[in-house]
Amino acid sequence: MRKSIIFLAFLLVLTVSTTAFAEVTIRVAWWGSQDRHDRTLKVIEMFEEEYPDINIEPEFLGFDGYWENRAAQAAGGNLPDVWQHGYGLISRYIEGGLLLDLSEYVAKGDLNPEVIDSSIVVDDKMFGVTLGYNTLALMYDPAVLEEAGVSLEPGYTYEDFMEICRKIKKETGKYAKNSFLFNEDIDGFCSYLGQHGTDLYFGKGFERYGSEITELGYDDDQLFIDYHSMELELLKEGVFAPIDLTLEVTNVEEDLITTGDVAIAGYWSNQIVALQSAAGRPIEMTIPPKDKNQVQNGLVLQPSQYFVVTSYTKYPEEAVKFLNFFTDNIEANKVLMGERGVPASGKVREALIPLFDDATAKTLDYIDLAVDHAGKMAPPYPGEHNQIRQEYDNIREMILFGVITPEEGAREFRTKVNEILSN
Amino acid sequence: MEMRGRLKKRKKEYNNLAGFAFISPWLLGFLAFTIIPMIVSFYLSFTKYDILTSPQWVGLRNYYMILFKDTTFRHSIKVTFFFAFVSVPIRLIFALFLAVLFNQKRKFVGLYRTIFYIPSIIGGSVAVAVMWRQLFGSSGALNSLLAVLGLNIRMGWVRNPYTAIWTLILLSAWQFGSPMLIFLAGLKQIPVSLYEAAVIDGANWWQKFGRITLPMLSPVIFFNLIMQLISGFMMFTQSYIITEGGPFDRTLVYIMYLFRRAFSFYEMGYACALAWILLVVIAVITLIVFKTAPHWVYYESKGEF
Repeated sequence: MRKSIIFLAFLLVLTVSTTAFAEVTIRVAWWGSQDRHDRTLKVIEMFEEEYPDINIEPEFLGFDGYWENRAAQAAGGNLPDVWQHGYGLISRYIEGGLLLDLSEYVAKGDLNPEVIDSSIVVDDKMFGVTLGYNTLALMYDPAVLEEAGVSLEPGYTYEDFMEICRKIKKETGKYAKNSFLFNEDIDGFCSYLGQHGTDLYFGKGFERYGSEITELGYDDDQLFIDYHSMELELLKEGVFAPIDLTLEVTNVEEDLITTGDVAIAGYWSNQIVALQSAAGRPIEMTIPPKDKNQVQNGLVLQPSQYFVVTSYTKYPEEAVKFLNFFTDNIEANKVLMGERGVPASGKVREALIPLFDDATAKTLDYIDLAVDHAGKMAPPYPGEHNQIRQEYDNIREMILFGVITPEEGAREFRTKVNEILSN
Repeated sequence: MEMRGRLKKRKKEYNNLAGFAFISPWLLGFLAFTIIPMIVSFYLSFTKYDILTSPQWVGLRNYYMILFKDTTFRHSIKVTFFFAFVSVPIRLIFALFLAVLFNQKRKFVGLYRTIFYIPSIIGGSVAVAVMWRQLFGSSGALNSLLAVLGLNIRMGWVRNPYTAIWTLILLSAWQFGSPMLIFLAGLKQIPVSLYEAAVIDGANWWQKFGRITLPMLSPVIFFNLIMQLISGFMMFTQSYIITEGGPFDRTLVYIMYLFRRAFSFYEMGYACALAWILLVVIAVITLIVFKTAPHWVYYESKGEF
């Protein structure tokens, strides 16, 4: 009898003591370059110091494979408490009910309303915080451009750009750019469509938005042909790097501009921080080319990434504390230095401007420049966009490998997209 | 008498129970990680399931789309067939060649055997795949080697549509360790008396190999062929890491396509249907190989040929 009493007492003490020392652990996941990992981990350390009873388990990857990871976790009901999200896929996750509505925390004052971007507000519910703003940019090595005797003045056209690239190759012997006219993703082409007053899915002036999308948004295949013919031409001339070289690049550290093989690269504006750090030499950036006949600007300013909270998280309060620290704490942002984009919080921006190092100051300057040359952002793309992106990549590679012509590519793209959208 | 009968029965039941108890860890794992997922996957193959919301029943739609409308499916089948039917014979030929070589009682033969087995242990790993990608990249070891030999081809072998699949085939062929060991075991089973008789009759090396070794090894070749074909059809890691299915799906092996549909396009139901179709395909191929077996596989115990 006495033995069992002592045993019970021991158990009681044990449970009480463990609950007293109970630490909350939340998992935080993000993608990025090594530079971003280092900064984010440092901020996590700072957060854990400020809130000693919250422990954070970081999960970080390069961009490659990040979404497959999240999809697998979503299937297993195992998403992290806080994780990084992007404009492309967030509507799927919102519709799936997987993200926590943060509006009550904003109302309570736990989150700064400035960090909630309108792109993630659905029916007055707020599904994440914005980590920064960015837009597409053309990064270049100023030393090489100087050697070639060229410069990229904002407002330059595609024709100007092609001439500049040719001059770079001629004068310096280096490739002007990797094999893509602007950017490896479909974004460059979407920008081109924007410049011609139409859109990949929603047509002229986004008129088809709201109705069911069952076919490609633009009617004139010539747009596809022209854009990709420009790429193909420069590739054939040897001005752009060979396509197999380009396809080998899987991250910022491996990029051809980092290794010095090319003079120009198309990236998102916030990536200049990682790029310059990897390249070890000054990189500048400017707006992408305009079309001489454009009806509007193709460039678009948008939230770079978000942090979202999983709807079934066990610790919403703690997660929100982390979000607030990350986006609104000045000391934390002095470490982050706008690597994910220009901070949304006004007081953070103000505090940071005098401290911005070279690369981040360039981001801010660039956003100021881009604002003057930006057009309207398209509404969220349909869920099939991922699949269509894959088809686009395939068709484009086939064009650049010379397996099909741009004309065939345009037709193939239209067929494939319509097939995917109508299913 | 009756008492003894009942005791015997109880002892038998006790033995059975003990047996179950000992295999229970494996059995639980088998149920949880193989049987139950198989059943769930079969159910999901009749649904539209985007992982983020609950599955919606669509009946045979996934199967219909795959078999009649999906051109990428047909393409990936072609790629997978090509990969399997090229890499497996190459792998088996290497394995057999080395097994014959290591079947001699030379100094250090044990050491060589171990060394040559190592690629098979590490070959399937992610690290080796990453290394392989670098090796055959435009600034990789292969190009450096070729440069030394005077051929300055700065080609990205891994991203070239014509050579990409061959880098994968080469990696697969490099992992010949397990079939090699099985061949070795098979070689040791061949009665030495057969070879002695052949030597007396004046047979040369080639005749010994073709008339004795190969036929006597045919059951082992048969086994290895089936096992390697099945694993060849299931290749994924190397395609995912080294070539990502590219360029433009030139190395899109079946499981790579399945993975893409599941995790990039958020179509789990479709991917499950793809998985079951693969099962049928592999089963049919295995059946064909089995059917041809009596024509070339010689079992000494059966005494016929």
